[in-house]
Amino acid sequence: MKPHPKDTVKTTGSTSMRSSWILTSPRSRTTKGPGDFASVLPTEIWTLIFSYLPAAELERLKLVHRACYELARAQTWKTLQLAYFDTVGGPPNRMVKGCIKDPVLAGQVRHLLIQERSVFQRSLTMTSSVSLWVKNHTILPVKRSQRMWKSKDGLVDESLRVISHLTERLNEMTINFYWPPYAQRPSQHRLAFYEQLFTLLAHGTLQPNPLTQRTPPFRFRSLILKVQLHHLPLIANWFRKSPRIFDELERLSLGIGVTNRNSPLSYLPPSDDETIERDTRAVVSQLRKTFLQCVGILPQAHLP
Amino acid sequence: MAAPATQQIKIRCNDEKEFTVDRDVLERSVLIKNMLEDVTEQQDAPIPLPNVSGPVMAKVLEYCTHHRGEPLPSADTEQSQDETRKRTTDISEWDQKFITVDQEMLFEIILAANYLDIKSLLDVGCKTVANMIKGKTPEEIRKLFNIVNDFTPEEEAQIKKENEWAEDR
Repeated sequence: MKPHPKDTVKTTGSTSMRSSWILTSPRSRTTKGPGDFASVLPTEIWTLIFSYLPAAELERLKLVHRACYELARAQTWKTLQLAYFDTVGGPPNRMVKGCIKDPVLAGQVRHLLIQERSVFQRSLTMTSSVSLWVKNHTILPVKRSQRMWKSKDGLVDESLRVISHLTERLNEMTINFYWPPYAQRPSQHRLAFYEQLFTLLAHGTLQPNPLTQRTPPFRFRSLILKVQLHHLPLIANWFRKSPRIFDELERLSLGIGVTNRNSPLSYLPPSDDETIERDTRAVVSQLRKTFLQCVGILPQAHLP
Repeated sequence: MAAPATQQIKIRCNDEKEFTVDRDVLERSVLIKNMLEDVTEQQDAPIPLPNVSGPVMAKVLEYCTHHRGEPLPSADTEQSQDETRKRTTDISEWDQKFITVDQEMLFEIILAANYLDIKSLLDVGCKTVANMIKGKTPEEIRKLFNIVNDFTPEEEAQIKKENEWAEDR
């Protein structure tokens, strides 16, 4: 988006002051005719502007202009969220179905977000008139459906099937392992899902690249994981099965939740807040390194 | 003991307008910061900025002066903001007053911030445009930005149909 300074500026090393700064020629904003969407601002700026808009606004923007339609659609489908993979109904399944049905839509997805919701938000949803789900940074009201609370094995398969419809454009994955702190292990449904997911990531392929016809493996440039401390060994074990997904990794963010003092699984000794914070940091830091070492990202030498 | 004098840097805009600015103010621009770091010798010649006009640069410098000394956002902060989906269109009071300009100037500031690589200013500009779009109908948006509708009635109907799934969420 921005010119790299080294591409733009060259210093000659000459003592002639006037010629010391050499820059590329000015770029004109108006690259298309008047009335065209791209003549107002460049596409990369519109993309940034659209990233601040919720889904409902993006839907409206699709009707403004052809170029606007393309950008809004790309923004809408940028993130594929699997949130209700163990339940029936619910809006995210429409997105899943859209990706399975239309390769063009599946080709827009860059970020796979696995964010478990449903069962453990039961109290929230059942007491309110509408349920909530998150898409494009916005919480939108949805019609509540009793069907949402009935589990169905088929949806695990559907969620996994949609992942194999994605293309090489997919380069980012976020998994929020939101199992409740009191649960020693996730439910059977979730276990089955993750076992199959990591097998797919390890051995499956993305859709063929239309130019090269290659079927690329799953590789991520960015991984974001949020886990509970006591689930870490189980999760690290899954990742160990899929080492190739780290091949092109540029960024790993690992958030570790530590159970609180009131939890029966508390890891924190009763102490003053400052000590707790220090101890927690130490534990989390150690575990982060252990995790990275376990999955093979961090060489043994980096471990303390 | 007197504090060391801040280094002054000269810049020249595409309308030949020149500014002499404290280095730390100019270094809000990652582009200029990198340029200055790449130069080992003292340069007296002004840095040419062919993509920015004098009036726009004056506004940009007003912003940079106000925010001088604040930490520059790292790539990490930027990414995590996006990833955690906490992208709000909130703008601080000072920034809001600063960016209350006519549309032409707003777009010029955005383009200058993009060219000069001033992430925070680019964000303020983009959020302002996003806020202008919010709640408007497609026709109002077209009017706002002087965009011509290039859809046929059939295409429009088709898109409306596509959008239905989003509306009954």
